[in-house]
Amino acid sequence: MNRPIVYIFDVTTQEEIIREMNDEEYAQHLLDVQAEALRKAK
Amino acid sequence: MAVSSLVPAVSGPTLAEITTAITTNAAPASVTNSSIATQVANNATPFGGTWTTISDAAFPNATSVTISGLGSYKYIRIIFNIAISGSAGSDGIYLRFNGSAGSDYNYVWTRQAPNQTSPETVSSWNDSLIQFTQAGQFAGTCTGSLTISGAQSGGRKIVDYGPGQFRSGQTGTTWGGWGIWSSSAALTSFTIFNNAAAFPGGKLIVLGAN
Repeated sequence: MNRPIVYIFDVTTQEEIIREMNDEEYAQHLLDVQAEALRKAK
Repeated sequence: MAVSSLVPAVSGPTLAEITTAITTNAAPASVTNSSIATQVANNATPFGGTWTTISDAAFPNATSVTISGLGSYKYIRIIFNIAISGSAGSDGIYLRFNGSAGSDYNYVWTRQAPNQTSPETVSSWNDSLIQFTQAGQFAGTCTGSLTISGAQSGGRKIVDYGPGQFRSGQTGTTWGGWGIWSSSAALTSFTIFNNAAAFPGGKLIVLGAN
């Protein structure tokens, strides 16, 4: 299963990164999804 | 009886200290709470500069969009027109600073849809993010702006957002709110994201000022 895409642009170096979430980002994403479900339940 | 004799003595800054504070943007000498004094010093400088364009580009086709390398501005303004995918679960549009997901964000926002008899308000304290609007499960666009003050080191990041508007299944829905990131770190990046699907596109303009 493909992970969500993240886009990172450094305005100082003009470096652009487009990739799938890494393990840390994906773990936070799963927490965010869970928290959003709880917000809707209130 | 003189009016002045009817006024009880009140402790605190003198008129001279307040006048000095206004003209020099420094905390009054009698303000001894260090956090208040620091906040006044960091955030009291009147906005007398001009906005510098940091970035002006299409809104990326991604679920999470981070703009980094912001530099040493006291004010950051983000103007956007985000396409919304309408995917199930794509309700919230969120904001984080410096990649931090700590429980140090507070926010309040209100939205009013044309089919609502009264606006609804959402608030959260000690959250891991700022929710600045709720797109709903309708494809369309979300237009608005965020203004961040206190972006420099030492200042609390105060975010004013909106008014914004949706052009979607609930065309005309307007929203606005404010948030705080309780960190004194200099703002080096911000992330706009949702938890459902990649933003289909749009426009993102980032400005900075001192």
